[in-house]
Amino acid sequence: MTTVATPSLHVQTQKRKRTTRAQIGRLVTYVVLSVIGWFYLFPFWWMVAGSLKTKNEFFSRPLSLIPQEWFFANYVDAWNKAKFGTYFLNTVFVACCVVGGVIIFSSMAAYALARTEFPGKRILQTIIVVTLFLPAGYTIIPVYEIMLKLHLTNTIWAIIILGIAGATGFNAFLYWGYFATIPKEFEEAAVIDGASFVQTFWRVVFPLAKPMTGTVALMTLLGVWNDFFTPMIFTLNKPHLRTLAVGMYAFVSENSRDWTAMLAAAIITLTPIILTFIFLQRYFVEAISGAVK
Amino acid sequence: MAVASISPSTGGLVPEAQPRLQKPKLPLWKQIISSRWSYVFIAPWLIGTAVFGWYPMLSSIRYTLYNWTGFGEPTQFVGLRHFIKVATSPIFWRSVGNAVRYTVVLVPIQLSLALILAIILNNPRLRFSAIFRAAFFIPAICSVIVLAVPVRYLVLNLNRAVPQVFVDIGLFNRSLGFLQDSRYALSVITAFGIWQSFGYNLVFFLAALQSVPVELYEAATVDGAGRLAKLWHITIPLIRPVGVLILLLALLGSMRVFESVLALTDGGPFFATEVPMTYIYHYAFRPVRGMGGSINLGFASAAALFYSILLLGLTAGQVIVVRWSRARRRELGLSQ
Repeated sequence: MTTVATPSLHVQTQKRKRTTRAQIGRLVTYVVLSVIGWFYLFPFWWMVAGSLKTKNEFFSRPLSLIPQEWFFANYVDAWNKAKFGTYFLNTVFVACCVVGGVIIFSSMAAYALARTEFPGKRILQTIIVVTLFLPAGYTIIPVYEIMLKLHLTNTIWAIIILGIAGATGFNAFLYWGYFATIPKEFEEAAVIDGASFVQTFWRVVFPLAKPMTGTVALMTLLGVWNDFFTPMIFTLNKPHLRTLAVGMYAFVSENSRDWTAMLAAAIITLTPIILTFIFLQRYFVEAISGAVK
Repeated sequence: MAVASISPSTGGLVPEAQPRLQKPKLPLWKQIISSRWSYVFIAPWLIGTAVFGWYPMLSSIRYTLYNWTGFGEPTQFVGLRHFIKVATSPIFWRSVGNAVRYTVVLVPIQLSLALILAIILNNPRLRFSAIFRAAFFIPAICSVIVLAVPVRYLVLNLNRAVPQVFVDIGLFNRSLGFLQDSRYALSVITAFGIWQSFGYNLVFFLAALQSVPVELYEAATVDGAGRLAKLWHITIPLIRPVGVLILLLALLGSMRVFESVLALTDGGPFFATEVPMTYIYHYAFRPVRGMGGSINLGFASAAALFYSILLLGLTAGQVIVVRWSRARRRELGLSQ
């Protein structure tokens, strides 16, 4: 006779009761979190709804979340009349240039710092640490002066150059940490095969750092797309050069009563970043968690 | 050179200490030439940082000593008068007070909520936690100003929805609304701040929680620890390094709040919500009525420098805490 250990009926019922209680607990958590989450995103529901209302409906029922008719003309207004189409293209251009520049220059600098010794390296590292501690005045003013002397204040290049210069430091640090984990054998093999310094970098080491390049690209894109202060200083008074964030700020004074178009403009500005985030969520979170660790 | 010698006592082989192999020391100029590629690779970053980072830092200090409207070169030397003016300016200190009030409310509320939610979402048996995490993170990845402008109009429309009761008892003034009423404006800005950056701290805390090895919790369960005991004795001590860093970053960031205040109230009804960063901005680029002065880049630089020094404790602390927390986490075995 085989004895099979089966829990007694009493214990089985208890187990079922315990799991049911856990399941109910989890269900309650889902519901509560969903409700809180829905309220948390309320401003976004309101913005989408408002952007689809006619001006009359927005005035009479500003807080309702479902428009009576879906009125897409606000988006057309925002794109053309309020010039957000231009702002969008400007922002895309700036983002591409800055992300590209940052990736190239910060990986180059990091490679030199991680893999080579050169006279002055120690001094450089000390200077970098010291500058982190220094209190600063309003650095945008001297920066503006430099741009004046370079005759770049009326161009979009000011934003691009400053964007690259600002982000390269931190990203070089990220790349540096990553390069340190790449085994030296790859480079040694390349050198044996006759590769020059530049070739070793571009053909061997840089491709190996693709994950970090992804992180750098994502974080830099986020920073550039949302950047407001520096673009504002340089392009607020030059409408054809403005980026989306600056355009948003300027909208209020230039089109102050066209609220439905303003909401459409906001949606135009926010959607690319939100979509990028939703599809690449994992990488965003990994990047931020990585920075924490 | 002998590699080994015979030990007198035992007769066996004893390895000889080897003189260190020295690389022949090249003269400095030869070293520089042989590492020329390092310099080439470092150059773009170095030039960019030196020209747009270090030089402006030094140069901005020079501007603090002049009166300057921004045209041509500064010529009117005033010495330290700007610093005295800032240090005795009631509006400046009011702005500091507002920043402190903002920070003191935002940081405890936001960080504790973020930690609690992170603990809830860290439960592996909770499906869809990624969706919830995404939902709470979305405002954080958006540009602050692009959120603040629509929110300003949302609040304006909410003014209409406030029940008449509150108007009658004098708590609410419908013509002022929330953002023009000095009683409520800062609270609205603070609430916006809590809402907008919550996602960042949530993700930070989630990352910290996930770095705690599961085995610790399992061992604790075996030892009979309940949920609260695990929280107190395992979770809290192990995320303390990261937690302190998160706290410091939140404090520093809140004291430097700018975009949300600029878009929501531009300093509020007569500086009721002015914060140091908007104060500086008003003197540098965009004066507001009642400021007692017009554009003075020298004064703005002085105010900025003054405020940086006020925050020096926090900024220096940030650099120190980053190093401490990384060392501590290595000690605890949480990272290598």
